[in-house]
Amino acid sequence: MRLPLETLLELMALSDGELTGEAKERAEALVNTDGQAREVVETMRAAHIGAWLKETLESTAALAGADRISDALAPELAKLAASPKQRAQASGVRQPRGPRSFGARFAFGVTGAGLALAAAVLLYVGQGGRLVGRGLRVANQREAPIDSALSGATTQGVVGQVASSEGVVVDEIDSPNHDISLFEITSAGISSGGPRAASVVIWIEEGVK
Amino acid sequence: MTGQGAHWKTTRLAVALVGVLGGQARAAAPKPPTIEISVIHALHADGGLSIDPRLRDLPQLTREQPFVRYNVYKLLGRKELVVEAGRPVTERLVNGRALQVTLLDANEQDGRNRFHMRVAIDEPGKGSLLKLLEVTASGNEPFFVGGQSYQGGTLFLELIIRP
Repeated sequence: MRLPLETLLELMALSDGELTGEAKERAEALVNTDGQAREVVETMRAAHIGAWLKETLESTAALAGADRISDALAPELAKLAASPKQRAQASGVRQPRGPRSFGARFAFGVTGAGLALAAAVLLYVGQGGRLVGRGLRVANQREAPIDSALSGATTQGVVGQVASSEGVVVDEIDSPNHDISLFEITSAGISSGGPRAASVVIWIEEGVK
Repeated sequence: MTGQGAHWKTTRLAVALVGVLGGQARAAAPKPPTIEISVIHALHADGGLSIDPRLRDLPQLTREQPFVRYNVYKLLGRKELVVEAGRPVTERLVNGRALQVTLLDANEQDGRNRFHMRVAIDEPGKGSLLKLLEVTASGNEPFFVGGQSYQGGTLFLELIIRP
């Protein structure tokens, strides 16, 4: 436990909606950046804990001091804390879905029926970069064929696809009024720490067309 | 503060402590992933290549497009934010725009954690620069969003999900 007591009190006040101004911003920033702080606030905010706690407190507050109440609650809360699923449900956190088949691919887009185009598409393959659209919405709405490759052709209404066994998959891009280019990176040694990691640069032209 | 109010506060604090300590005691408990956001300013200037030493991986990248267009790279800021499925986190960029990242889901594939994320870049009072970008990446696998004009150069945003 490394959060100081005064910070805990501040987080408690945040969970109660009692903080304003700079103190609120400070506490929210801490919650955003510190997992432990976030856990404290989520625990405080967990609806069913709060209701049960209040009920318990009301029935025992007149008979016992706060420390004794805390002692009495601790074992029950420890059990609760031991169940990640319960904690997630309590805080309303969505659990990750089951395995999702992304396929072994490096998708810049999909051809034909797999696309939802919000605007006309101008395609070209530049040196190392691919302008995939202008005001374009590229939606991967079905599983992409693994072996399909970027066509390399300047063909309106068609977006090619590059397949790879690893790396970043761009599933969808929507940038109205801006040109979009995608650059595949194949350099070794980028931040992944892996031996080779394909990555991508999504380039959004600043100028509005 | 009334006596009961004090009890309530103390008890709730105990709840939080138990929850947090209980969480720490669970060795198997998954640590929430974080998104590391690095804001990089790239310029083309007279002289040789100059790369901020904190950009440990950039030298390799500068041989490739679109990085090869620039020869001066400076890290303007780096932040790591906890991400949780369905909860967007927002980072204000140096140019006033807001970068929003949402973890949509995470799963394991071929022994690797894969993270499906949504990214958006908005500018208050103006339209979106990037209305929607959905990307799937493994942990510690960076991807970049570039192209925003800034002080005679451009901004590269490096995003890495840390499991």
